[in-house]
Amino acid sequence: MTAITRVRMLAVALAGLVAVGCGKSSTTTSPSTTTTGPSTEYFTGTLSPTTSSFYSFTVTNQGAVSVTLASETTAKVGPAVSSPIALGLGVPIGFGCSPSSSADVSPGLSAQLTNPSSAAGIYCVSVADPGTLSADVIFVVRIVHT
Amino acid sequence: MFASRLLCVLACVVGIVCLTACDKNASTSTTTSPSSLPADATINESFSSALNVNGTFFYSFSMAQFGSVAITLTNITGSDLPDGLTLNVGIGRPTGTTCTPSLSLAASPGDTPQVTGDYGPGIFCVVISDSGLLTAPVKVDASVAHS
Repeated sequence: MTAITRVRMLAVALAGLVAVGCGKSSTTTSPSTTTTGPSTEYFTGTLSPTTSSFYSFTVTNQGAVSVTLASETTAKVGPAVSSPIALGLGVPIGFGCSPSSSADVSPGLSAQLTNPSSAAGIYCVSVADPGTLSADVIFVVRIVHT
Repeated sequence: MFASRLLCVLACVVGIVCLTACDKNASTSTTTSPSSLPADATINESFSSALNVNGTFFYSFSMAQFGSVAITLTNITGSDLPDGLTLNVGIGRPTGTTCTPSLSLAASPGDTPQVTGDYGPGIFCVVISDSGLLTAPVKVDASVAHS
């Protein structure tokens, strides 16, 4: 093997090293997208006549929000009642929740309030006596959001 | 001799090529976009509430952009106020039926903001609670300046 041959072989080896060394920075991977299913939260409490209450939750990805007054009873173990409750969906402002949609509803199995495309952010659900309660009621509101 | 010189020249050329090629990537990795500066607080909201012994209350506000926030506990009124009375004042996010503070400290009433920081955009809340010193309900006056 001549000296020139050795030099040629060394040049090829060095070129290979350059390609490998610089190639590390050229390898790119596309970011993976993670999709998460909807979350369910329960807002429970006692609502007295003439009062209101609210519950804040965070939508992490734009998507649908549904709110269901699932239960209304006079005691934790007691008869169900069907007195309408003012249910609202909005954003927390000041000392309360400013609803962008609301309805007087009785307990049911399907959502009474929905927003098909809520942007990421903080929202709230409010419950209030619309003037029909004569005694305390225990309520359960189911909130499903992304 | 010729082979040694040729080898030296070749090594130098390869080295320069490598540095030039790799430097392109190095220069792109050091490129940074300028960070946005917090907007000045242009909105001032004042609020008052009763505060019971061991009690707490919170006040929510909305920030349209990243900006400065300054919270001031301006006044506490009531009977039998203890000397050096402080309340816990914090800023956080509305969560469930409360406000979860990310920053909270004991503050005496005054004209200078006790809690400051850069936040937003989004909805935040000021939470004020008894630090364990109240012996009777009081009325609390406070304000929040934000962008």
